[in-house]
Amino acid sequence: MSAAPAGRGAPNDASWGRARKRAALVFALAATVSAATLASSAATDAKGVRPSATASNSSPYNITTKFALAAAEMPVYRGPSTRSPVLKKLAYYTPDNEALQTYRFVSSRRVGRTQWERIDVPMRPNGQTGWVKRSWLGATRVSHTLIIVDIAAETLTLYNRGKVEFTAPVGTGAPGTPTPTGRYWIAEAFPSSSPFYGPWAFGTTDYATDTEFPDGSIVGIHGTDQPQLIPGDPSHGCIRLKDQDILKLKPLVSIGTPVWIQ
Amino acid sequence: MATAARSHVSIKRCGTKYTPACTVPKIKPKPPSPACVSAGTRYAVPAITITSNAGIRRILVTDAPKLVRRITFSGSGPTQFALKGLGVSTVGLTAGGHLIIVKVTDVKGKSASKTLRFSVCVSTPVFTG
Repeated sequence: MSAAPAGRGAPNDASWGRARKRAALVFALAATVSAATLASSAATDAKGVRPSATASNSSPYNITTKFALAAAEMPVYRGPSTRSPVLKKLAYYTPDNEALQTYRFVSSRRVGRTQWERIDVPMRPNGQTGWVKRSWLGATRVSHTLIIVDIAAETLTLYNRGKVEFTAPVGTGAPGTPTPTGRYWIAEAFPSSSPFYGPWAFGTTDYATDTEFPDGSIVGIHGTDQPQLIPGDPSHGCIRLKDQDILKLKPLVSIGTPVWIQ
Repeated sequence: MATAARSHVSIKRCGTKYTPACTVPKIKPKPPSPACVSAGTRYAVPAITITSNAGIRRILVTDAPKLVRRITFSGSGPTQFALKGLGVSTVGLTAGGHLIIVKVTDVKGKSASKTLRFSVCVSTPVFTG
């Protein structure tokens, strides 16, 4: 995995020497990566590990996220080695079979002749990462959009390449079943047949504190049949929008879009 | 059933003293969309590029066990073929994951297969609400 273009926002004075340019680019990349605090566990924690998501320093919300589907049902290891403990297996489908499972790249490392990728693994507890061989994943996909859910302000904002594209009031988790905060992504998108979820629903990789639903208890972003409760904190962990707002959000968001709940 | 690229000359493209070794056919689909497909609609199968240095004899596409498409080439067959515009009806398909299997056989009898996956939308999500 290679990082997104590092040149964006970096000094580009033609009179600079090649070495100074390179140093400036490296500095700009490092600065933007740290400033944006990217994926939940995207920190470069070891030698030789390169981040797979980057941000432009023009906006902290101008981020590029890379992800892929599983190409094989192979193990996800805790470290970049087949001798490392197994965290989970790569899955072709999401737990509820609602979509093909996506995995977000965190960083990469070459060990011998093998390219290893550190990926975010959707599972309980939230925020787990593991390592897989690059060949076990499919083609790299890219997302330039970002959803920020501000629980305190009870708003959802969609950024596209750092620019606000959509914002709406939301209902989030009630005090007894709060919406777990963190860095997740959209894993599913589908029409809902239940008025409770409104006309459209997105599934995230965030697992709720409410485990009433044994098959998943996934935090969704969906419409509602109780719009009078929005904004507020009426849900079991899901993020509810008014039906007209979820329908506006529907064409703007695709699977892979990061969701930062804060 | 479709027949294409009729040729009267049998070309030995591989496996001779003067040609490279014959390899198994390669099947390269475009990445599928991870999003589910609504029931009662049509799933557009991603374009698939098939290559074979010996020449392609037969392509079978199945939505197990239903046959979706069968293409047979006579003569030496093409070395490359792009399979586009394939669709699978989701009428009657259960919600959840489904497979499409592409099997290619070359003129030497070597075959390869690739499994493509898609999902039919589940009407009742397991969200916490």
